Amino acid sequence: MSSTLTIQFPEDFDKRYGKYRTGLLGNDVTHSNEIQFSSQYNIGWSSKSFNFEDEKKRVKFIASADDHKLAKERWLNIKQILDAIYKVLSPLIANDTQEVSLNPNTLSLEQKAVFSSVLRDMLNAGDPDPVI
Amino acid sequence: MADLTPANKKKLCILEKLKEEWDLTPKGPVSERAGLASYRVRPGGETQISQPKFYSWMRECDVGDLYEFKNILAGFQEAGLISKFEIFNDYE
Repeated sequence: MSSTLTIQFPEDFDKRYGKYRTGLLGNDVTHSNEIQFSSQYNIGWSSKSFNFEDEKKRVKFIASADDHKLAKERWLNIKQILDAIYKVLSPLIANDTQEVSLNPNTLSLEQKAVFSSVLRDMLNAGDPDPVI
Repeated sequence: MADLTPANKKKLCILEKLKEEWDLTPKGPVSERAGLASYRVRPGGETQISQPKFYSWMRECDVGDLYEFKNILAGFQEAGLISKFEIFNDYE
């Protein structure tokens, strides 16, 4: 048997979240699970581009629960992949003397596509040259 | 970087998960299937999270068990961060 958690948020959750978070952290904003690189990240997804932030805005306006669930899970899965890739690559951004290796052959096709986009983004931004 | 107690680290971690949910939660009513030919309207600002997902939150946030997880949510409710929460069993 499985279970489901239902949560009702207040309308002004953002305000309450900010206040509570500041209470925990003070003005420290470094604790975040948000993706740190370009929030307008475009991912080549089949024949059309997937804009991370635009898609997030679209998801919350879906009025059918089933459609919303699918779109939300898709968005969260992509974020999970991007977070994982960022976690691997972030030491390169902070200190270019560090070396990180990742075997692309261990990635799924979708993860490879995202990984390639991340490398392109880093190269375009002038970040350290990744060696493949 | 602020030094957080282990308890506050867990709260912060779950809080960020809730923020992520909130950002993706429709603010207006959502129609939901309640049977073969019936629908119910889920109020805006309400989200449903499956067991595998909230268990993965617990693992990621180092929350030991469901009892501790519920206590964190109850604390959020008391602080006015969430209006209410409920964990109910799904019957086939």
